[in-house]
Amino acid sequence: MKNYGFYIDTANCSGCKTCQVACQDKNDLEPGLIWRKIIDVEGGEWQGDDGIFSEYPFAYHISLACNHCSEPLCVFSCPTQAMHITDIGTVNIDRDKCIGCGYCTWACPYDAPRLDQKSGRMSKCDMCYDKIKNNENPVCVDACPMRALDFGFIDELREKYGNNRHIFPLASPELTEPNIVIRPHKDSPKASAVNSAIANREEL
Amino acid sequence: MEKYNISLALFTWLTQASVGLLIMRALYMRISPAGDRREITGQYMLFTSLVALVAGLLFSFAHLNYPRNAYNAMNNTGSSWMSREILAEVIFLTVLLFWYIINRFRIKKIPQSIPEIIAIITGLFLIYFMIRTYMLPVLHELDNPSFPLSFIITALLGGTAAVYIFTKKNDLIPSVKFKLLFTVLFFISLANYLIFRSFNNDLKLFDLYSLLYLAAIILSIPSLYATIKNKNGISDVIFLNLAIISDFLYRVYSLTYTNPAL
Repeated sequence: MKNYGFYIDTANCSGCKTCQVACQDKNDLEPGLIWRKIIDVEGGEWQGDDGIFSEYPFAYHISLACNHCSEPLCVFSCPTQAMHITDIGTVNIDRDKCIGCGYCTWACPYDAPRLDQKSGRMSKCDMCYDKIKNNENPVCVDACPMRALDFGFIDELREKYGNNRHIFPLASPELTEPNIVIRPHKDSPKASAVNSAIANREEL
Repeated sequence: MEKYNISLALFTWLTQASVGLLIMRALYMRISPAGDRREITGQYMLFTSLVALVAGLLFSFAHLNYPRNAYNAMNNTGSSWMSREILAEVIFLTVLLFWYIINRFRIKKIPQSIPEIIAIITGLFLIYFMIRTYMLPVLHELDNPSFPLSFIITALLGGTAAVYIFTKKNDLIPSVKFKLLFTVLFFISLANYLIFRSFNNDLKLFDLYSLLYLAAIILSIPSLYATIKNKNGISDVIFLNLAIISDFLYRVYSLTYTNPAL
């Protein structure tokens, strides 16, 4: 089975959150429940040269939802088999089985599964399963004004954009084999080396 | 994990203490002189273990947001450690219930040692599955040897405390031995707590957890003295409670400290 995936261009993403809002609107999510989140990474350093210090700040944004991994720890960990791999290779939740224990959230290195307080069950990005079935793009991809997101078969995305799956502060892709391709922001290599952090943790 | 830590801490702590009580009960039954008193005390211990297990199980439901689907929780024993943990919990409860019935109604056809051995082995498997459930590769804070060790120490500490309480009035010699063991285990629990916090670069000497441990250490000496002299000192009661609360709060702390990956 060919897996679908997302392309995330962190060099182009302006952090406007249109993808996040489009996702909330399409899926009718309660306020506070987000399936696609924007991680704001900020950092910087001072560099001294002959007694004069200059500042080198940087910031970039990562638009991240469920990465529909090939080795999904959430699926392996879920005690009820509510978290499962669908007929098109995406990872989805069967709400009729879910007990809302939150164990999938602990297991996921991307913190993708979220508790839907209203129903008491876990919820997450289903890659717009209904739209894929109609040969359409997920809404987040079509909503992005910067064209920072793309969607398709992961092999084709890798052919088109390269094979990078990692950027600071995401977990090592070897943990779950995420079906994503990331175009790294030019300052992202610096982020892991100098003072930098997620600036909007309370939003996530 | 914030929201669920108290119910999860209660569930894990009580379940482990239940297993530990059976292990310590087996020890007590072998070092104590035979007689009616030993049999009755053994029966009380068995009942307490059962009550602790059932209470833990009830607390485990409190962390489910949709308990109506709980019957699905054993669907994924093929790959989910949590599913295996729940299966082991159910088997352990069944064996313990069966053992309690044949013990309570003095059914002589089945030797007590058979359910005793099965229950202890199942209980040990249960603790192993619990450890594996929490040691996820993503939860870096728990991925060190100190955290699984705390599960084993809790089992032994909780079990020893219960045996000591049951024997301190009438069985002086085993009681002193269990009190000594409890004090040693408490010091191991303290050392393990400090190791856990140093692993996570969060070692502080003056917070609630450390102060409780400190108070329990100070009281451990007069408490031990009171036990050896067969006196019912207040220090004994306070030490016992403080030691148990400290170990329980370490569990709350370790589960609270753990955050999702992002």
